[in-house]
Amino acid sequence: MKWMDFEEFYRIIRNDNQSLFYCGDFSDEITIRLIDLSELAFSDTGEGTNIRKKVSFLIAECFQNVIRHTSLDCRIEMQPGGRGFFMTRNLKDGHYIVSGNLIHVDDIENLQSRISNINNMGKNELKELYLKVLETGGISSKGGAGLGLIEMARKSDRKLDAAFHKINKQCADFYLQVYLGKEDEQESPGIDNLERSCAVKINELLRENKVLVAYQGDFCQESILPLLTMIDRNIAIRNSEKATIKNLHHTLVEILQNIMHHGYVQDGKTEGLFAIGIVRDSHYIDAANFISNEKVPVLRDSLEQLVSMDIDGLREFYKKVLKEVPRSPGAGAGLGLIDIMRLSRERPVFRFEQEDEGKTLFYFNIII
Amino acid sequence: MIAIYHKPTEDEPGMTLDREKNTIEFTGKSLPEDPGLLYHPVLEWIREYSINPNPETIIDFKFDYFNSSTARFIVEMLEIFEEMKHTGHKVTVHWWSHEDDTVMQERGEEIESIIDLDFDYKLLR
Repeated sequence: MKWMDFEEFYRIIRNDNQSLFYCGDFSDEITIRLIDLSELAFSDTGEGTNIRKKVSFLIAECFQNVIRHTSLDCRIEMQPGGRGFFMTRNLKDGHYIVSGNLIHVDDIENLQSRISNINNMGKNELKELYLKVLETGGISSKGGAGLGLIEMARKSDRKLDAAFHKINKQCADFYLQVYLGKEDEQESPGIDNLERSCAVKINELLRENKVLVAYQGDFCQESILPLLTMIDRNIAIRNSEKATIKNLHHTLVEILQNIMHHGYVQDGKTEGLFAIGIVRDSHYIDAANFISNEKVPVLRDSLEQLVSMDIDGLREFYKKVLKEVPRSPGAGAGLGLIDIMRLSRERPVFRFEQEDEGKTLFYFNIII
Repeated sequence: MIAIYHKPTEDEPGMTLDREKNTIEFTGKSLPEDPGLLYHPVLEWIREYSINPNPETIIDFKFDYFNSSTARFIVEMLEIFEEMKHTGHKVTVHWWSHEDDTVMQERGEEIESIIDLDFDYKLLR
């Protein structure tokens, strides 16, 4: 990702409890993993199961929307940018779930009127409409019964936010957003719209940088494992070369576990941000997380030493560390870093930006 | 000696260490949160086994994937077997990988280069 874009992306989402952005293949297994991840974000916020269930439901519905309603013509025409987009942002004041997909411009009017129809209905009317559609069927040509939209409005108990951005004569981005406030909150704190969640801005940033998956939140084994599955799936579909997939997997595990083990812990969480995307015929990984200031000199020195080595030098150094470094806890933690460097196609980029007296933001970019 | 049977999970390998059946085998993925917690009992088992081992010992590594902290424990395990070899016991490592998995193959070769044990490379199907 271009540094300027990464910085902007980070600035938007840095205070989220947890956020996840997904572009690419939308399969059911990925939906399940998204739900796993989102449940993790709720596990320590003290929120009731009611809102958790709603979020899981809405994630599944939004995801299904992208699968069902993306125009195939537009998807082909807009390659490689013509991908579906999905984001969930868990903020202090509530939870945004947004889907974005390409539709044919001829479908805008119909969708728009369906959404405004739903938005004009009260609770009871929505229930009646739901039961009516359930009874009479009315399955659309895309396989959906229109129930998804009705259910999303019912579950979120708020109006659906929708936006249509024409890209060319044929295709448009269709954004659909639901917002869930905190359980004890009676009224909406303001206007729920796509500007507040920055969905359009974020999608544009991620599309421009060909991001596949980005995550911001706590880095622990429970978040790393679903992320790895999602990314493996996403990449395996486009790239069947096993060595590439393996190399990426290996690098990702080391980067994500490095954040988990060595990141700055605040309120019991080790927060960070990472993104994986496509650059030329390769993949890039961006990672940013806080580390305590006293760790900076050692990390900077070892990174500088490693980037100055060639591939043979790195291999020999790897073997030396593997064999010689004592295996007491925490000792020789550099093995993962050497591994990452060995798999890098180009010289990795890193930078340190001091945040305050306790911590520094460590940014790392690598191409695999 | 009590055998170790560990079922594979999403981040932990399947492990069989059974002296009676003469089987020492690792399968699947290894990227545990705390590798020490997982591998210390295994190291203990191997140390005890090495005092009075079977006439021939074969260690089967059939990993799909392992992370860098697991690599460290593999070396530590193999160092105990290396000692066994140096005291006259027969020990062989069977290092399995899929045909197109160059990463796992290379990892095996690197470990072989720092450990005095015979490695047989085999194809996982």
